[in-house]
Amino acid sequence: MWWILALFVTVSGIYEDQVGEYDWSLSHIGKVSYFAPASSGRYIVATERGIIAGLRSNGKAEWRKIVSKLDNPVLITSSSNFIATFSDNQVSVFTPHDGTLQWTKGIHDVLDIKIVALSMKEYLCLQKSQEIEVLELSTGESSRVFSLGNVVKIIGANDGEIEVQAKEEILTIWTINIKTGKTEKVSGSLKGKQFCLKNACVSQDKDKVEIYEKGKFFVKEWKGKNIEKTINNSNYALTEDHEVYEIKENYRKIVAAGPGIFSAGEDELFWISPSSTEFILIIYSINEGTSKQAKVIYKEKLPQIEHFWGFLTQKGEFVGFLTLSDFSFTCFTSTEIKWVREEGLGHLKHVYFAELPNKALHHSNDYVSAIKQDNSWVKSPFNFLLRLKIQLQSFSLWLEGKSKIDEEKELIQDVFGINKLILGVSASNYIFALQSLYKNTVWKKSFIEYGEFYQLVQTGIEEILLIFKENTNIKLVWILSTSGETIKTETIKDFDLLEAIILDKTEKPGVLLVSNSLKVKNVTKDVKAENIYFYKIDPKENTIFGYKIIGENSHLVWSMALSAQEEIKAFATEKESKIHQPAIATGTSRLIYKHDDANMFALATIKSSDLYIYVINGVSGSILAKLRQEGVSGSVNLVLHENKLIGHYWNSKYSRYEMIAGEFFDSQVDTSATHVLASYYEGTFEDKYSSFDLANPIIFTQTYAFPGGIKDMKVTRTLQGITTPDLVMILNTNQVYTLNLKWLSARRKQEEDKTEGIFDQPNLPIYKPNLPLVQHNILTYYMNLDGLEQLEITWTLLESTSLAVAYGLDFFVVRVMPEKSFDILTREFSRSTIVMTILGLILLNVVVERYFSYKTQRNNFKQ
Amino acid sequence: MIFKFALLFLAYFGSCDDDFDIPELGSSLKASYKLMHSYDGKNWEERGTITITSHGDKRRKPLISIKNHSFNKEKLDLDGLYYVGIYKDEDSKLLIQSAIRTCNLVAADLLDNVSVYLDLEKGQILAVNYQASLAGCAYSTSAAFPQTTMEVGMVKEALKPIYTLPKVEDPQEQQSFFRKYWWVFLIGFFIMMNSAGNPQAQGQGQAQG
Repeated sequence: MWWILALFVTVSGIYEDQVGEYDWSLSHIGKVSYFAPASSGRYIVATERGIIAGLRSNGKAEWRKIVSKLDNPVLITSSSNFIATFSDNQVSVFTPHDGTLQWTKGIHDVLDIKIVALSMKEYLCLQKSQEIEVLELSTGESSRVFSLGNVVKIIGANDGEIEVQAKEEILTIWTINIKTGKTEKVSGSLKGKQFCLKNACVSQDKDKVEIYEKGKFFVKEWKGKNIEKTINNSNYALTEDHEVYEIKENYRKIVAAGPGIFSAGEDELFWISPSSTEFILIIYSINEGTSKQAKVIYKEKLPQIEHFWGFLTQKGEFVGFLTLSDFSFTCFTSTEIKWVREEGLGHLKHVYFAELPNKALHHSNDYVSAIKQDNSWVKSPFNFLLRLKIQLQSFSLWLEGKSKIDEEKELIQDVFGINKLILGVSASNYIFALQSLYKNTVWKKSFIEYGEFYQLVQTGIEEILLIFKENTNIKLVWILSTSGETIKTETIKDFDLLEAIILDKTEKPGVLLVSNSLKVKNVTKDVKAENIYFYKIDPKENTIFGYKIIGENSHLVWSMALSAQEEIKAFATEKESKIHQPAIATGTSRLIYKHDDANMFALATIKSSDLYIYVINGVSGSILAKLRQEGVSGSVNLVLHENKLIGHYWNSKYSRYEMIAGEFFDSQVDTSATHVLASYYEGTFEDKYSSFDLANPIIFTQTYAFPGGIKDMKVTRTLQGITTPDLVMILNTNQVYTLNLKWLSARRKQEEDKTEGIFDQPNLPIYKPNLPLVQHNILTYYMNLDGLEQLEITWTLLESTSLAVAYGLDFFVVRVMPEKSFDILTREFSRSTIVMTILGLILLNVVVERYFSYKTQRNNFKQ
Repeated sequence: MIFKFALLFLAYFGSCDDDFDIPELGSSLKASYKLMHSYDGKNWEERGTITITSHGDKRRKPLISIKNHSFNKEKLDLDGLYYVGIYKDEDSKLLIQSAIRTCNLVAADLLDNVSVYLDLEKGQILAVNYQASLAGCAYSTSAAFPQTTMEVGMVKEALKPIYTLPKVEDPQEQQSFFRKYWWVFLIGFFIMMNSAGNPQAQGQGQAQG
C-alpha cells in the first residue's frame, strides 16, 4: 500500500496558448521629427519611419498610419481640422482625431507643403520647383497653379493673400491672390542672408537688416550679432551669441540666453539647457516680460536633445516634448518627466538572446567568482564554507519571509528557461535589453562612442562582449548583461576586421577575430582555437573563400567564384545546432541516416531569371548540391536545418510564391537497429566525422506553392532537438505564421504513387502541391502589427517550447510550441479528475484487498 | 480552310508557358585548363591538363578528361592538406582551388576525383570539388602517381508543384487525456488487482503445501 505514495512526485506545468500570456508586443512609431498639439489633449506626430500618429496625453498611440511605405520620407503640415502629407508622389489628407483618410491625390515633384487659412477656408499650398499649386484642403480639388519661377518657401497668408519667398539675391516676396488669381512680386533693396519666419522675413547685411512685414520693406540698423537661425513657427530669430529677437517692423530683443534649445508658444518662449542627468527649463512670457525657471530631473544620463517642442495648455500648464538621440520621445512638465516612448526599439537592426543567470548562480555570485579564481583542492574547503554561508543566508531570508524574489527586478532565469535577455541593436546606436517574460526595457546603452556595431557574444554567465569597428581599429567592450555596465574595454589597433568567429555557443564561447591580412587574434585567451575553418562570402566580387586558422594566421584552403551575372540573394547556415536524431526509423524496419554535416551552408543567387541554390561544405568547399529553378524574381529566403533546406521565392513565370524543399541523406541504410546497437556496444560506433571524408549525400527535392510572400523565416530550436520543428515565417502581411516541417518534406509521396522507396517515410503527409495557410497557426492572431522584418528564435528549458522574436518597427515576442502537448498541461486538463481517479484507484485497491482477504479467509474456514 | 490556316498561324507564332521548356542552347566549347597542385597551399605547380568539350546543350553533360604530368609522393605533408586548383580562365589570376587531408589521399592509394563546375557560356571555372575516391586515413601507400577520375558538376533541376484536385484536410483532433492514456490506467488497474490478490494466494499456496 505504501508504495503508492512513491508514485507522487512534484511536477511543474504551464497552460498552453493563452492570449497575451505566451506572447507580448510593443507598438512603435519611430523617431519623431514633427509635432503639433491637436484638440482634446491629443498630439499629432510624424516620424522618420514615414508614419503619422495621434498620441493621447499619456503617450499611448490612439492611431497610426504608414503614409506610403515604411521609411519613405513624409512632408507634413497640419491645422486643427486636417493633417496633410506628401509621400511617394501622393498628397493625402487625414483627420487629426482618428487618422481617417479624407482624400488622396497623385502629384509629382512636391518640395514642401503648407496649410494656409484664407477667409474661413483652408488651402493646401504645394511648393514645386517652378510653381505653386493650391488645393482646397477639404476636398482636394485643384484651385490654381501659379508659375513663379524658383521659390524658397511658402511663408503663409497675409491680408487674404499667400506669400511666397522667391529665390533671389535681394529679399523678394510673391503674393498670390486666390480669388482673382493675380500674382505680384515685391522686392527689397538689401543683399544679404535671408530668413523668413511665421509672418515676416528678414535679410541681414552686416549691421543692417531689411525687414518685410505685411507687404512692406523696412531697412533698419541691426544692433545684434549675425542671425543664425529662426525658431520654428514663430517670428523669433536667434543670433550666433544666443540672443533672441522678435522680427517685425520695429524689431526687439527678447532675451539673451545661453547655449540651449528654444521652442516658441503663442506668447511664450521656452528654453532648455541640458546637463548630465537634468535640464533647466525657462519659460519667457513675451508680453509680460517675465520668466519662470524650473529644473527637470531625467531618470538616467540624458542623451543628446535633437528636437524640442513646448506649449502651454489651456490651463496655463507647460508641456514639453523631446526627441532624444536614442530616438526616445519624452513628455515632461515643468516639474517632472511624464512619460517616455522608447522609439529606438522601432529602429532595431539586430536582435540577440542572452542567458540570464539562474537563481542559484545569481544569489551565489561570490561563490561562483571564488571557484573561478581558485578551485584547487587546498581552496575547496573554503569555497565549500562560502557556499554554506550563502545557503544559510538564503535560508535566514526565507525564515524572515524575504525570499520572494522580484524576478522582474532581479533578472534571473525562470524554472523553464523562458526568461531570457533580448538584446536589440538599434539604428539609434543604442543597445536595448528587454526580458522575454516581461514587457519592460531593463537597460539601454549608447555605443556611439565605440564605432560601428559588428557583433555581440555572450562570453560568461553575466558577461557580454560587444565588438565594434572603428575605421581600421577594433573596439572590444565587455558589459554586464544584467545592468549594461561596462566591465572593461580593449582597442586592437590597425586590425581591419574580415570576420569574427564564435567558436562554440556553449556557456563560455571563444571569439576569434580575423583581419583582411588574415591575421588572427584570439579575444578569449582561455579558449583554445585549434583546427578552425571559416569562409567568407564577398558579394561584390562574387567569390567565396574558405580558410583554415593555424596559430596566428589564416591559410586559404578553397575558393570558388560565382558567374559575374549572378546576384547573391540569400544565405543560410546552421552553425548553432547539431543533429540530435541522426537516424530516422521509417516504420518499415529501416533506419535511414540524415547527412550529418554541421558545416553546411546554403547560398541563393539569381542569374537572369534562374534561381540557383548552392549547398556547400564550409570546411572542404565541396558543393553538395546546386539546384536550379526557372522563372524566379525578387527576394529569396533560405533556411537550413539539420539535413533540410527550404527556400522561398516568387515564381514570376506562374505568378505565385513557391517553396523548394531539399533533404540530404547518407547512402547507408540499416534494415534493423541491431547493427547500430552492436557497433555501439563494441565501441566501433563512430560519431565523429571529417568534412574532407564525407561521402556525397543523396538529395531529394520537392517544390510547393505557398499562399503568400514572406519577409523572413527561421526554424524553431529546442534544447534537445527531439521536437519536430516548425518553420516560423513573417508574412508580407506582418503576421507571424508557423508551419510544421513535415509539410515541407521533400519525400511526401503522391496519393497514387504506390511504389516503395528505400527513403520512404509512411508517417509523412501525402503530397499536396499547396502548402496550407491555417488561421490558427497565425501566432499574431488578430493583432495589428506593422513593419515586422526579421526573426530570431532560441530554445528554452522546456523541450516543447522555443522563443521567437519578430522585430523591425513593432516588436513581437512569442513562445512557439510545434508539438503542443507533450510537456505542457492543456487548459482543459482537469486536476480534480486526476486526483479523484487516483483516490478512486486507492479506494478500489483497498476494497479489492479486503475482498480477497475476506474471500481467502472464508475459503480457509470452509476447508 | 481558314480554320486550318488559323491553326497553322497559332502553331507557328503562338507562344505559351508550359512545363516542358527546352533549355536554351549555349555555345559549344572545347578548352584546356592547367590542373595546378600544391603540397603546402603556398607553392603551386602544374600537375596536369584538363580538356573540356561541351556540345552547347545544357541537357548534355560536357565531356572532360585529364592527363597528369607531374606528382611527387615524397613531397606530401602527411599531417597537412593537399591542394589542387584551376585558374578561373586563361587570363585570370584567380585560382579556383580545393583541398583534402593528405592522409585521405594516401588511404585511397592516390585514387582521387575532381569535379569541376563551369560557366559554359564564358568557359570559366566556377568551383572545384576534390575528393579521395575511398574513405579513411593512412600514412603510406605503394601507389606512386595519382589516378584521377574527372566529372563536370551538373545542376539539379528543381521540380515544379504537381497539381491534382486539392482536398480539405481536417485538423487533427486534440485527444483528451483519458482517451489518449486509457491503456495506462487499464494496465495500472490490472497490476493493482494482481498485487492485491497475490500475497494472499501465495500464503494460501504455502499453507496448502
